[in-house]
Parts: sequence; C-alpha cells; structure tokens
Amino acid sequence: MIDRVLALRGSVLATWAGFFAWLWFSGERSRYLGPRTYWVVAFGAIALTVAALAHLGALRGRDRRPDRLQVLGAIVMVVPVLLVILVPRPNLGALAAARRSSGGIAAFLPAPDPNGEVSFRELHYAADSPDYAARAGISEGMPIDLTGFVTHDGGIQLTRFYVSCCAADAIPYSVRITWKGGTTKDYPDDTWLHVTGEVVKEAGGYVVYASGGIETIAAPKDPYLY
Amino acid sequence: MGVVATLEPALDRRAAPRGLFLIFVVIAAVALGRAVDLGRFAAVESFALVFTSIVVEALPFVLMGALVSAVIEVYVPETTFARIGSWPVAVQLPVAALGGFAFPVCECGSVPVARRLISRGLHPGAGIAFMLASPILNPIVLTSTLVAYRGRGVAWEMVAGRAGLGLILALTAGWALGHDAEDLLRERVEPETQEHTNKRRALVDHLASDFFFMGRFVVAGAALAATLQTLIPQSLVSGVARTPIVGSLALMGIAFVLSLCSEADAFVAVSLTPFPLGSQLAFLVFGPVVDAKLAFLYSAAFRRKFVGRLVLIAIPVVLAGSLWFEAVVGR
Repeated sequence: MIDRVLALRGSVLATWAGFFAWLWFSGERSRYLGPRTYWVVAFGAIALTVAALAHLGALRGRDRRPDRLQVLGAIVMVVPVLLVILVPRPNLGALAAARRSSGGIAAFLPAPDPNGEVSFRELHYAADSPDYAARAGISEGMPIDLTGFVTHDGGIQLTRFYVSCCAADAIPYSVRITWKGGTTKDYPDDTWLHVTGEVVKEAGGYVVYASGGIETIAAPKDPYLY
Repeated sequence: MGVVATLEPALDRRAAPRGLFLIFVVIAAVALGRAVDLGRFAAVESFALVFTSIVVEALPFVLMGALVSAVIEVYVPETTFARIGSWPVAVQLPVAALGGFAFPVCECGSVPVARRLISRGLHPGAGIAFMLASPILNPIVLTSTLVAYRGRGVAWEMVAGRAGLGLILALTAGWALGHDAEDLLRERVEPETQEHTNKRRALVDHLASDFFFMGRFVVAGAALAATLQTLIPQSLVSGVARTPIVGSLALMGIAFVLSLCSEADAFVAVSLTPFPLGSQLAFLVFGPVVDAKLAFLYSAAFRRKFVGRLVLIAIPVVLAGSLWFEAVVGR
C-alpha cells in the first residue's frame, strides 16, 4: 500500500530540491539572487532533499489518495520550475530597465567608498552631488572602463542592474555614451558592450566619452553589479 | 458496501490515465513554448526572472516557518500555549510582539507559525502581533537595516525607527483585528493531517502540509508581483517623490509591488535616494506587513476580510509614523 499524498508531495519536494541543487552547482543562482542570499540556495537544496527523503521513507503503510485541490496545489508548486525550463537563462534587459527607475534627484546620498571602483551607480550619484563626486574622486577626464548592455533614452546608453538580494530588487543605472564628434555608432537594445574612455561632465550629468573604443561582448555570467 | 468495493478499482483505473494525460499536457506545453522561443519576448523574460527569483528566495523561508510550526504542533504540549492564552491580553500582546526578536524568520515563515499559535490557544491578537512584528523586529532584519544605512550616518535612527514603528503597527493591528479566532482563521480546506503515534512521522506530515498550503500562495503572490513589475513603470510613482506624504504613500505602493523579503529590503530602501528618509521608513515598515505576495499568504491562513482590514490600519499608522520620523530625523 502506497500513500499517494506523500508520493505526490515527495515528488514536488524532490523537484524543488533538484532545482535548488542545479542553481547551486551550475552557477545559475547568480541570475536570480544576489550574493547576500546565495545561502538560501544551499539551504533549500539540502533541506528539501531531506524533506523529500523523509517522504520517501514514509510512503508505505497508509492508503491515502490526494484530492483535486492537493493535485492542483502540487501543479502550482512546480510552475516556477517549469517556467525555468520554458524560458531558460532569462535576462533583465532594456524593457525592464525602462520599467524600473533609479529615480530623480537624490534626497539623501550614501557616503562614497574612497577605495571603491567608480561605476554606473557612482556616476549617477555624482551627477546629483558635486560633493559626492569630489569625495568619490570623480572628475572630468577620469579614465573609466564600463561593461553593460545597451538601452536608449534619447541617445545610446550603457546600463547595468544593481541587485541586493534577488532580481526582484534590481535597480538599473545608466550612463550615456558619446563618441568622437558627438556622434555614436548605434547598437540595438540589450547588446552587451565593453567601453573604455573617459568621464566627461555635461549639463545632464556625467557621460562617458568612448575614446578607448567600444567592443561587443557576450553577456557576462554574472549579469549584475552589487 | 459491495458497490463501493467494485467502484473503487474502477476510479483507480481512470485516475491513472488522467494523471498521465496531465503530465503529457504539461510536457507538450513546455515543448511548444520552447519551440516558439517564448524567451525572445522581453516581457516574458522579465516576468520569468522576477517571478522565479521571488519564489526561490521565499520558499526556503516558508520551509523554515513550516518546520517551526510543525515542531510547535508535535513537540510543544497542548497546555503550554493554552496557559499563555489565559494571560491578560494587555500582557500577551506585547510579549508576543517582542517574541519576534527571538525568531529570525521573515514574513513568509511567520504566517504559518502565527496560525499555529492561534489555533493552539494563543490570543488571536497576540498571534497577529507576533506575525507582524517578527519580520521587522528579528535580529537579522535589524542588522541588515543597520548595515544598509551605515553609509548614511543615520543607521541607528533608522533601526530604532523601524523597530519602534513596526512594534506600534503590530500592537495596533493585533489589538484591532484579533478578537475572535474563529472569525479570523480560514478553515482548512485541505484535510488536516491524521493523528500519529510516531512523532517523527507526524513532524514530516505537518511540515509538508504547511509547506504546501503556504507554498502555492507564495507562487501566486510572486506571479502577481512579477506581473506588476513587468507592466507598471516605476517612474509613475517615483515622479511624485518630493513631498513626504506623497513620497511615503508612493513607497508603500512600491513596497507592495516589489514584495521583497524583509531581510533584504533595507538595501533597496537605501538606494531609493529620491525619496525622503521618512518615506524610506514607510517602505521598510509597510513592506514586511503588506505586499502582493503576503496578500496571498494571508488569504491562505486567514479569512478574506483580514487583508483589507490590515491595509486600512497599516496605511494611516505607517504614514503618521513616517511623517513624524521625517520631521525629527529627516532634513
């Protein structure tokens, strides 16, 4: 006699355990989570495996059959896993960047890390506050090196998402790219570029003058900054 | 008797092909989706990523909550909570709310535990106060708030503001909403687990029962949050950031949509730089109490009207608290 309620639950738990293990070992966790919450994946993989095994061990003895609601619930529970198979390796791109906002003028800025690397977010903050720019060491002509994907807002921009804990909290920061003579070769949205050049202050904020060149690259394994 | 005996195997025979058919449909749908390459649509991609990441982050916490809830059910004697339940409400409420300090699980975990505590005899108001306070007051959340705001020079003010306003909200909601356990808790539509003689087996059964009961609501809530995030431009709300009142209301709206885990949300709040500090506090107190994912979780544990009533209490309390904070600590 097999307890089919436990069998159904056990298979859903095993599916999730497998999914967490895959996220863990394939490195795909960095697509969904920030480093701060990576531990959730390891915990999930281990705890769900234990739970699935406990179900397996208790299968015999009772003759229970799942009702319709339990079957439906089990299906709902595996939908996220099915979606990952359906849409493998999804990315947040130009559309998501347009939906989210890094906001207008800052009311309250964090203190810059004087040894930190200057990247998208620092340039965004520096545009709001000359004081921040000075403390972060951002000035006209500073050499810079940025990797991001293309978005458009009037002109061509390079954008990168900053993630705290998971992709749901991703915030996009963009920097406008200029080229010699003010014109820029255009690239389609979501193209990943590596741009080297220098920081130039313009009326709307800091832009990057791509004097060192623009190189098309593959999307990095870890698409976010933190 | 004879009829039942002959019907049962017949039902069984029909159930098996139906199950196989269902599996076939799912595989066919996935294969079709892959063939059409659904992932090339940016909206689908964005939805899939946000949806999955919320579920991946939340499910382990649901599991922890289910484990705590199952341990209470199986190992804590029936009389313990009944005894606490006989204390005066004026004592139970604050004790339960402060109990959140010792319970390092965020909101997805505290809902099943609160439900279990109430059904075990704790005063319903105390159960609600515990449920709302623990995702704000727990040490991990307060530490992450401190770390996130350290760079701003207002870390301790923010931690104190968050803990204080969270406590006030939890006590107010517990006092106002928790009168009658029967009126509060939703009846379990799923059959409760059977009586067990073997405690370990009982633990597994209760844990799984709670995990599955809550889990599907997390999935539904994540789907709602991901849909809203994919469709609604945030600039609609962040454009009105300037004044503290509108800013606070806007950030409560954003907190609802984002459905972040309370252990993570301070790092997001701190980056919402266009909003005044008081509004960021509103985000940090409202989000762990009401968001899209929680609305579904609450409807799993409580009767339908609970969510609406909670929102009616949370908005004015959080708004008033955030304005006061802005006046005292903000610029």
